[in-house]
Amino acid sequence: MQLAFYILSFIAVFAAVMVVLSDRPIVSGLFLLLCFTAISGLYITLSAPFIAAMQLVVYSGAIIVLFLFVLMLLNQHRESPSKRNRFVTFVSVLGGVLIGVFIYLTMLKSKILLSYTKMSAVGGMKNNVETIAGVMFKKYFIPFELISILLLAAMVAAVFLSKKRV
Amino acid sequence: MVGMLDYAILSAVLFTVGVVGILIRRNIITIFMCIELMLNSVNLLFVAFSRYMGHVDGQIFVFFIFAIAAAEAAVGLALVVAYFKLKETIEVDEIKLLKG
Repeated sequence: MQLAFYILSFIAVFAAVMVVLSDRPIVSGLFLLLCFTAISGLYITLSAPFIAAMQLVVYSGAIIVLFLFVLMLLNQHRESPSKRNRFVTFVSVLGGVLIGVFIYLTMLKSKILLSYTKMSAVGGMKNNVETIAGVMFKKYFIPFELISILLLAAMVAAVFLSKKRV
Repeated sequence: MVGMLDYAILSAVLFTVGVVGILIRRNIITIFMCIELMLNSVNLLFVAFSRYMGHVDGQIFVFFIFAIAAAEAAVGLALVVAYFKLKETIEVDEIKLLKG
């Protein structure tokens, strides 16, 4: 389990870095697919098979295909060379990394997070799907219905925006 | 042994990579990809907390975030396509007008 965690997290971080570094959007999309698949494996190590399956279906299946479709529709091969100042790029990277450092320092102060460090992730909840269904359709029934209305609204909006006259 | 902190650090690293990507990329579709990456890092943290605290509520939140991400990708990409039809560019440095 430990080995699986380290291999999968290495793949996920490598793919995420390549998404950012690659200057061809199609390559970025395919690395994003690799990253999502590795994260789906990480869900399995956390004994959440339902979420892992949903990750594969929704992200690796639907969202990546949507991205690649739009990229092919717009015919974008390569980003043109940047007209930005190098200093601006440097400050952007520095600011992003600083945000990450702040998140890490905050985590080290969190008592609730550190109290779980001694526990192992091996062995999990039984009947994962059944438990999720029980909670979702009782405690979270109204949010579930609202999500379906949101998806309907998004679908109508996407169809409306893609019409000939905007 | 893999503890909660390892998952938290992995999530923070993925989030940071997403933030840096949003700041340095200029193609708006790549920026969308980085947003999806950040959403995924938060999902990972939710599932890790759900596992270690022994509740499934975190996994249900992840399910909701999946739906939000799908809706966001659909509407955002439709907007990008509509904008490209008008202006023939999706470089964020060139996009200055919201009105067609």
